[in-house]
Amino acid sequence: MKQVHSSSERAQLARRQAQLVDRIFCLKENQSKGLAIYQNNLRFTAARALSISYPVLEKLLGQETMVALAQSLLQQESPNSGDWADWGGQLAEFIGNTEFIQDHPYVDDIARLEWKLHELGRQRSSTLERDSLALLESHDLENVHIELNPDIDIYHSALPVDQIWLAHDAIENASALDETALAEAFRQYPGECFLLLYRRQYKPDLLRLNEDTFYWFQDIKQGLNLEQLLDRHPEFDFVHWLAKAVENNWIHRLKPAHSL
Amino acid sequence: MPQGKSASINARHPSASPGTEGWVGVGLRHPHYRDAIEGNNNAVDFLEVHAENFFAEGGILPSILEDVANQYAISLHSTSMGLGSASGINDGYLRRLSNLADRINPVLISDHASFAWSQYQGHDVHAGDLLPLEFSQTGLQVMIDNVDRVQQLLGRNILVENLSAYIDLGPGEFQETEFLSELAHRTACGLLLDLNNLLVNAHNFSQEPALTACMRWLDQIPRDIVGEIHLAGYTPAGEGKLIVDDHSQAVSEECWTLYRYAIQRFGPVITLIEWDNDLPKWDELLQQAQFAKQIIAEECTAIAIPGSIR
Repeated sequence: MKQVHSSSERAQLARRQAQLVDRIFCLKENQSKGLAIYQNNLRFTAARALSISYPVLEKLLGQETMVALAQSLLQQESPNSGDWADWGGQLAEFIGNTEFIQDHPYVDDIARLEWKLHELGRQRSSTLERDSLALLESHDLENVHIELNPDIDIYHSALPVDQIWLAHDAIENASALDETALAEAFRQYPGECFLLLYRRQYKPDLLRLNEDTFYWFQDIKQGLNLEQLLDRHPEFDFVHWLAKAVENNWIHRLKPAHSL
Repeated sequence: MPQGKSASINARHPSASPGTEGWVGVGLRHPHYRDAIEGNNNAVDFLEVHAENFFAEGGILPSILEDVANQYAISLHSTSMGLGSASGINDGYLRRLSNLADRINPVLISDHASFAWSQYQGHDVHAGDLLPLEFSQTGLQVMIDNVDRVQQLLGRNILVENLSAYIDLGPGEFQETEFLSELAHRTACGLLLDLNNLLVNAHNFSQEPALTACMRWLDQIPRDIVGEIHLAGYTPAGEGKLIVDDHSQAVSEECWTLYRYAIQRFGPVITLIEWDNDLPKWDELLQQAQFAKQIIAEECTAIAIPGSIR
């Protein structure tokens, strides 16, 4: 039996495999019943992946639209990790570049919000390293940084998309939507929203922040030290925030500058 | 040929897990998590989970898997490894698989004789499916290299499953049975024998009766390389259509007949009931497992079949 295989034979096989992938992913109709099965599997699996990652978006748009979006998104974003849960992060950008957004101006923001929630729902959680709080006494503030828990994030939209998300997250399908309650929510929370995304037990959830607290979180994420943070947010009640952050497990630890 | 009711336990193959002879398990899917955790863990010998469903490091799934693994032996079955990919297997994917295997210490690890990693429009892509292989010298060498790499990384032997394929890539240099046997011989991996896949292929493409074709296929497989058997059912296809291996039905009568034949030939190989779509109640799944156990007992009367091990 021939044991040695040249790299060119392997490269040729790789090309033939890529040609088959190409014939499947182009999703064009063809005469091969077998190829059609692989294409249908791809459409179905991609649509199911989006419906898991974007449950509220699916309630808003309906299953048929999500299938069409999945099919189109495949041409822009190739699955490349072996786990369909990692695919679909470019959906908001994709929607934003379609005419669809003109009639539904909030939809790409909902998609962006849901993808962040999906990602943090899969993030490893850390508990607070309580001993690290002693850095507040042992170090100058310029040498102290706050490390947030990896399962929290922040989000901003010019529209009150949190109210849309909350109203739809609580129902089985769009037909069960209480439109009166949603209209009331819009009256109560008009305009832009600043959000903290976090996990309540295991389920991703969101919390409205005031603008200053949002930018406080953003500056922490951008790596400012505690002295810089307090300089940029002179009115911010750090002591009160710290107690709340510890209580809600928003912080993983305080860390000295040299550990960055 | 059938060996009658005195089939002997296989000679130990490197991929076999000690003490698993006669084990029967079921696939654990999302709607049954609670049933499995709160139910009687003696009702089944092991559970199979799909590796990729548990790749997330956070959320509720890691804790569910931990609960399940504390109660049951686990078989880790992946569907995305793409062992036949000529462009190789993604490093990040293997890292996640290895981390998961370290966490739950499964009794078996398996994937398919298929490819998935490739290129599309100039980018790396995972095809998201079990795409068929060319049974060629080059295809075999790619499989050998990839299986070797995975086994080195995981520090253990794996099982490789025969595929249901829907397109014919033309005559290869090997028959499928030769290809898989040579792979097992050259890498010490085992064969995960999926009987439903054989039946689907035979119904879709064979000119002879499906059972006859499948039994002939089994006769060409060396007795000592089979490390596990999968049983499943499929939705019948309409006129002129291909059957799709959708795992959405109870194990078919034809599959049970083929299973009996396989047990006669290969002995009391650890067996899994696969049911992934349109799932039945948990109890119905367990009944299917009990029926498999009964067949093992009937066909291997000379052997003391262990009951539930855990």
